[in-house]
Amino acid sequence: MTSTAEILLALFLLTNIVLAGTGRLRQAIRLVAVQGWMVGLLPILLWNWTDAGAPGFRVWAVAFVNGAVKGVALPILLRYAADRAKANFELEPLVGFRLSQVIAFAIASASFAIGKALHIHETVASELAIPVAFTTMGTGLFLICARRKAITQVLGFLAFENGIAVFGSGILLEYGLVVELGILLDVFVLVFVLGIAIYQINRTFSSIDTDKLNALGDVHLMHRHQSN
Amino acid sequence: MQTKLLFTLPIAAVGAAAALHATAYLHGEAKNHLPRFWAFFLATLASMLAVVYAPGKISFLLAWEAMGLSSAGLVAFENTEKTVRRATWIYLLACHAGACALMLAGVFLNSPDAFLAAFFCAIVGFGLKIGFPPFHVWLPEAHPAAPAPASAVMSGAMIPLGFYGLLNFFWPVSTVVPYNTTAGLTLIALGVAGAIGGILFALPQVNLKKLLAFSSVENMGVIAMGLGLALVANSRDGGSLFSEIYVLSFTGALVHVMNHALLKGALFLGAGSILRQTGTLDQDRLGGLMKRMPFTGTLFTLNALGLAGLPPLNGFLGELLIYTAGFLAVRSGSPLLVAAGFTVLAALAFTGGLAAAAYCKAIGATFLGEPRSKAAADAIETPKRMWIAQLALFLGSVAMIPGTIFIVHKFANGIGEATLLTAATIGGALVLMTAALVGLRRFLCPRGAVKPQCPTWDCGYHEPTARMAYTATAFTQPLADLFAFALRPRKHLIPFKGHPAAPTDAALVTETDDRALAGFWRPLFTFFARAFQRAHLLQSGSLHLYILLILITVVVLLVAAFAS
Repeated sequence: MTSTAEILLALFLLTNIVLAGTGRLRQAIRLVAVQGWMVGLLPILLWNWTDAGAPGFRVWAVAFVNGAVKGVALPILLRYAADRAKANFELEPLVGFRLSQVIAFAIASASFAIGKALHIHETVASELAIPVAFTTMGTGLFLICARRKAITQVLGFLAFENGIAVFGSGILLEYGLVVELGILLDVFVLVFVLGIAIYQINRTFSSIDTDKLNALGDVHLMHRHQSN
Repeated sequence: MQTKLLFTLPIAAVGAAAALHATAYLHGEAKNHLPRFWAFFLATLASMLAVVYAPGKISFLLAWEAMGLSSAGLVAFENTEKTVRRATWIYLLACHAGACALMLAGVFLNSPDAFLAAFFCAIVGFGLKIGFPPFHVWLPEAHPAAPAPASAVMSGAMIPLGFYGLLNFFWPVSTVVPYNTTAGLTLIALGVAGAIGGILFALPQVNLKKLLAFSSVENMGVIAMGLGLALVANSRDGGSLFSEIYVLSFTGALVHVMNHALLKGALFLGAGSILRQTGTLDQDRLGGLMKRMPFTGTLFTLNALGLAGLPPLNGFLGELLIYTAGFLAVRSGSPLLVAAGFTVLAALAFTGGLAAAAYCKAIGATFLGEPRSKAAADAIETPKRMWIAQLALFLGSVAMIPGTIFIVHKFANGIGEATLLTAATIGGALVLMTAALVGLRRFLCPRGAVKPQCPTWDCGYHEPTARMAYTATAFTQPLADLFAFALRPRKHLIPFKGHPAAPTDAALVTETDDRALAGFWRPLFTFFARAFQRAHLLQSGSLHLYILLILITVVVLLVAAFAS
């Protein structure tokens, strides 16, 4: 089944690049949801069916929970938050969409280079797993830096976490799935809190541009103090 | 075990005396302030004991930090005053910087190759508590700011704990002989700088407690010289003479720890009594207190003479041991040891003389002559408890005379016992002579005879005033001018105005500030402040840029970790 897994990983790579170039929030949420399903599928597809037989209950359970939380629950929550904040489109991103896509490509190539340099082939189930994982993490972090809307940043964070999940199932850590569940719980709580935060930010600033949060810092005061 | 005991005794003695003194000293303080004082006071004592009896290095560091924090609470007691808050701030900085250096020292101590690095870190860490120059800045700030019982405990018992730490950290490993020379010479150099610098700056101080604080720097310098000489002697393989030098200077240093604790504790308590009765510590505004506060005055005088190292009091015996070691070192023939011995001897003699001058000034300006202000003129003797506390410490220091001989007899295998016995005999003879003179005076001028009542220094003037007498500043002015190159006093001359036949008042004000603060620490901190100001570039205020910076850092660290 490795070839199926590799097709899935290649698709995963593509979702990242599309995600970097999209400005519509609904589409972005949908893309991250698709990533969530893929993360759920991946441990099953990467499973060594011929040698190890059918995977046990634990693997199925983790796959199901991963897919359900990342592919269904969190996207619904984010969509609800976006609707409440009346945010549909990422206007004036800090880095343009085309340039973002180019950067996503650059991240992907760098990830392949790093993945080659790492030399951890012993436990890796698929050659593609590590570069794809790095690309996803990199794109997620890049989105956090380059977008204004709080929702897009949460999406970037989710993508980053998806990258970690791919990495985890990709190198088949011994207790990887259990750790995975722990991380999942963290992410769930975090996104939940962020969803509430987005609502509050929107209510206070009547916008979810995180730029507005900069006004909260004491830096401006400090600069003013220095210039005196 | 014996060193533990030697460092416990000052804590117990000074702590108890200071507590007794404080019950009266704090009388009249707002009721809700008292629990704060006692809580911090007891916490300080407890953490000091914890420092001495800490079983391991980690617990030692914890106790050390606790000691710094709880004593900072004592320094901050009168926190409504700006100078007190400033002093607390400086003290806290010194404490934390010291703890930092100690942690580093602990890390270095784990590898035997890094012995010297560990030693220098420990010198900085403990030096910040001991008050080696230039780490002594907090002493002349915090001691005048703290309530007197607190300064007594801090100066008498807490500062020398730095030496306990040094001994505890380094004496077990000091079998690493090649490093002992470097370590010993470092201690001697710091000791000489501390002793001479401390007493030079003590000399012109008009604030009595500031003078005492600088004198602490001097005494710590003397102890450091003793320990340094011991280390240098220990690093040479030279037979019995070398071990004699080692034992003598080591014992001398430890005895001086004890002496300084008792006497300086008593002196700070005395200064507290003066502050409480007159409301000022400015020696130029005091004077004539001996007639008004006879017990406090007499005890202060005796303690000051003892600490100045004058025979027959015990301050002399500790220094005598170090002197003897120094003379032996000069005779030893090993060039390094001869040089070290000469340096120690010269520095000891120099500081001894200046210490006598400084205390002479302190006693003279505070207690003798006529009062120079109404506050001093109206002063009355303190409640009994206050001078009993000082008396107890003084008696303790008297007990240290046979105590020193006992210590030398028991722990130093009798080395130097003969010298001490001679010194004690000479001292005894001096005491007997003094007693005889007092008796003679009594005989010639028996009790009940009419005593002429006249002002002090009535030198035939029609109406002598206190303004004709030497002030504290005037008394030390020749010496201060002699050492002006080091002290850099700031002089403000307020010249007279009007016709020379009917001039207005003229005045000369001299201030001597701590040079280390203005000359070393302030430029250092300014430099760092400037350097870190550049980091404001990073502080753009943009959330996205911050995240990007974190990202870059993580990636760089990951790459570095995998590349290595």
